[in-house]
Amino acid sequence: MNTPRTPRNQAPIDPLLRLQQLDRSRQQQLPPPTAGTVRQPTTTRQAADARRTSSPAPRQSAPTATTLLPSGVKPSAQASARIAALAAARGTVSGPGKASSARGGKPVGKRAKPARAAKVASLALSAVTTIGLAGMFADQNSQTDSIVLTQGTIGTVAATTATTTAPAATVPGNTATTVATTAPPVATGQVLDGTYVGAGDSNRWGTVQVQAVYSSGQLVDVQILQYPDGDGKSVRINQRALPTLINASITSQSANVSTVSGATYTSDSYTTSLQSAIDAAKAASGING
Amino acid sequence: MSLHHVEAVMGTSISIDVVDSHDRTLIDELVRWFHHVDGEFSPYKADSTITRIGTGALAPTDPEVSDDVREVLQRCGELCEDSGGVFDVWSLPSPNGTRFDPCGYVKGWSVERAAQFLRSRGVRDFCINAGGDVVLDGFDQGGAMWRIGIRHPAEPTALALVLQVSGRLGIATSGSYERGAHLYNPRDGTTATALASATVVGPDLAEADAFATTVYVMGEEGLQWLARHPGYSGCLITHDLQVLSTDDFDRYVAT
Repeated sequence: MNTPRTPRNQAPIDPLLRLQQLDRSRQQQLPPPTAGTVRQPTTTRQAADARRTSSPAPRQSAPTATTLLPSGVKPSAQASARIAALAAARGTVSGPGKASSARGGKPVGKRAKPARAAKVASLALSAVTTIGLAGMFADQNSQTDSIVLTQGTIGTVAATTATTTAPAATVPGNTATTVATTAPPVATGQVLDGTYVGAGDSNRWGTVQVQAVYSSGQLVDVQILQYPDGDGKSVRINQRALPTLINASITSQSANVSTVSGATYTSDSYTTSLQSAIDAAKAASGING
Repeated sequence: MSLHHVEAVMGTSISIDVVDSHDRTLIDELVRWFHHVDGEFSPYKADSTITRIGTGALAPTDPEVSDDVREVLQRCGELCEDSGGVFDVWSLPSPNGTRFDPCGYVKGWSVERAAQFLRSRGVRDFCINAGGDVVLDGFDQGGAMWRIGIRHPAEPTALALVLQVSGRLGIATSGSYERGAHLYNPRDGTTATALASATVVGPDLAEADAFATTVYVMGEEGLQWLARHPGYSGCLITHDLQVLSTDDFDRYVAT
């Protein structure tokens, strides 16, 4: 149960200030690492290298760790046997000690957690979007986007509720009649303490729904129940059909692919898989490791 | 000069392509790494850290538990919350008789680590495929963008789609057509088979791996869930061969 906070020492929430705070905190989030490029002007290694040498910008420094195994960990007997077998096949001696680098076992560079940072950022943005419903969408004070409270016990007068600096929450007056019998009328004319759920508001970013917490007539908290996906854009799902006829499907030869992402296969099913055919072709072309 | 190697480990086959190096010790290091991961995480091994944690013989907080295992458990916990319990490595039937199996995260995680290692050694162009989960960077042997096939769910030797990409990317596909119904919905214990497959792409293969499993189990609403993760996009294929995909994913598809 939501216990309203006593606002004695707490100033009423100013949505505009809240928006600025959220925006600042959002800007401080690390952006997620960028995924692979697609259909960019540099579509070949040659072009990418040419672009790099012609620009003075230095390359990003790579993580400094040069070993994978944690420090103090010896290769397992299984691994050592495999390395020995590989060395024998190549006709060279390649013991475990030889290959490891001088830098001992420092763990591989910190793995960025893109999803988490980005998720926090998107939550903050969603909160921004929500506050925006109080009229604070990035570039305007819209009169049409406002928090609509459709439930709750409301005192006899509700005109001066919420804050004064932003468009006030619109409070339908007719709900008062249904609850007048259950709640004692309040002479002060302010919103009664409690949590009020707003109707879902659909805009071009999606559906946002908030609940507002009132205490002593002041809006003391705004909680987000529902917010648009991702960075506020609705997800567009595209649909296409794959060919059902075998000879209309893409074959590996015509597709000229380097590898296949398919549902995980076992070592046994690998031998009959498309991936093994591709690997065999590569081995036959003389590249080996 | 480039390197190509296939290693049978972790119950699958890992295909490694290193384009811009012929230093075979890189392959050795990767082989060592994957066998090490197998030893620590395999639910098929009675003495793996994961099995011992699953049976209660070892507490996750025990100092003997490595940082790697802790990192994986931490992230699996976060993903469980994020997915509303759909991705839950503590509610899966495990080969070791327990209900704890983090393999849906570990495979992609170990390959992502391998990719970081290669980058740290100055390799710019590579592709690793661990049983269908792919990580790549840079360009292919011909200096062109990597072309990655997504297996056709009904036709083992055909492809549903071809992706054309360059630069850092992880591609993970989940489905039932290779290993049968092995993807469980922890919420009700049923096996998920409503979709033929789900593919997720993004900057981190460990995440993409977990997301692909989650999207597959969630079904069509999984794409909406996925869209809440900036940088990650995907598609799913239904049994009647309809492909549903997000705009972000379609940009990767070769025409």
